[in-house]
Amino acid sequence: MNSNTINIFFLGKGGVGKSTSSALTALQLVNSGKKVLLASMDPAHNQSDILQIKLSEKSKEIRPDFFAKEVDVNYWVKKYLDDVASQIKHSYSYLTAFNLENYFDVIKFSPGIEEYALLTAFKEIRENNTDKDYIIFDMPPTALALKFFGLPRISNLWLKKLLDLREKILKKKEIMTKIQFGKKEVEQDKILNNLNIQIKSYSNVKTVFENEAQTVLNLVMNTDKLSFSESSLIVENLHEFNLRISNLFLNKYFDGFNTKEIENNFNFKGMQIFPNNTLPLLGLETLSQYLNSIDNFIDF
Amino acid sequence: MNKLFGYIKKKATSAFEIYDAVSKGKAVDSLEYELGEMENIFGLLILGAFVGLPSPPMQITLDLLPEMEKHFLIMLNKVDTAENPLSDLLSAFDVI
Repeated sequence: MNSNTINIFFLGKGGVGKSTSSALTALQLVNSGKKVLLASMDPAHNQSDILQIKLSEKSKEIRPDFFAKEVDVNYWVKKYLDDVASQIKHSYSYLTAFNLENYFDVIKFSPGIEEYALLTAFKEIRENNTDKDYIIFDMPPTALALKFFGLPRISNLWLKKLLDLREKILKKKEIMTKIQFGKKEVEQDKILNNLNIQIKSYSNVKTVFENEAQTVLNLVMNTDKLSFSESSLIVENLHEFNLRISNLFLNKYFDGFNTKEIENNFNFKGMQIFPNNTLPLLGLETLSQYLNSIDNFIDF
Repeated sequence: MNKLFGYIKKKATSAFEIYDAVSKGKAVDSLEYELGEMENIFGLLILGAFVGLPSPPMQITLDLLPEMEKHFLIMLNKVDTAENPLSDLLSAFDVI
């Protein structure tokens, strides 16, 4: 994950306009000569409706240098579980693998699998789109989005404890072989290797998330009270994961709304205002017209 | 004479080797038990979800699962013999 591609995430309460803000930003960057991929990570996809173009898991070039896709969470869950099942069939005896098969039908409904599928999709999207200047991620509503960003940190907390216990076990094994055979027998422990690989992988993602030159987090909110309080919650939670929101996108803004309270409570680098539009922003043409009516757009 | 001496030496070496093996075996007995228990804890921590215990995020378990057949089988056996843990402990220390 060492590409120069910048990840731009859009977070916020359900219905505040994350998908519209993502689409507008993508279009704005394409218009300024950048190569952009817009990836919808929300299982309840809206991008097909907003762009008025049928999207799928496969990336589609909807305009020169403007690509879009909708991440199919079920596809990623199935792919992941199939990979694990095939590894198990390869390394386990027939009977054990056979007994485990029943569990796999249930595991896909386990808590945590959905955000892991999104994280896997994120890694693969980054790896396959190093030619893009920007990848814009239209995120699911707060709960799932926060779990997604917290996953590398929480997983590493567990993994480091497990690694610690594994190292103690291996040390004890070494002492035993020394007593029994008079010399240390250092064996390659597959479990230890696996733990180290997982820690490295999560640490890499965590570094990408925390690096503000590589990842820009944007918070979308409306002018109402509910949206304001949920936004505060998002900022606090992300702070716990050592992540900081860069820009605020104030959507459905109306003349006369006082932004002072927002400016006093949040410490954002920039604020992008999207005035309320009487007609729905659907289709590339309408989005382009709306962009033309806006005076300033944040630089990324 | 030499033949007799050689015979005695061979017997003494063999007796020492047996004594050495027995001593080493005794020395590692309790260590082996402790190691076994640590492995069981490790197995339970990771595979606990399969027997109804809290466990790490599912993907950690799933990523480790291909390497953990031995732990998996031990854990399922332990569940079968879970009603009599004391006998397991006493037999480890040769208590009748």
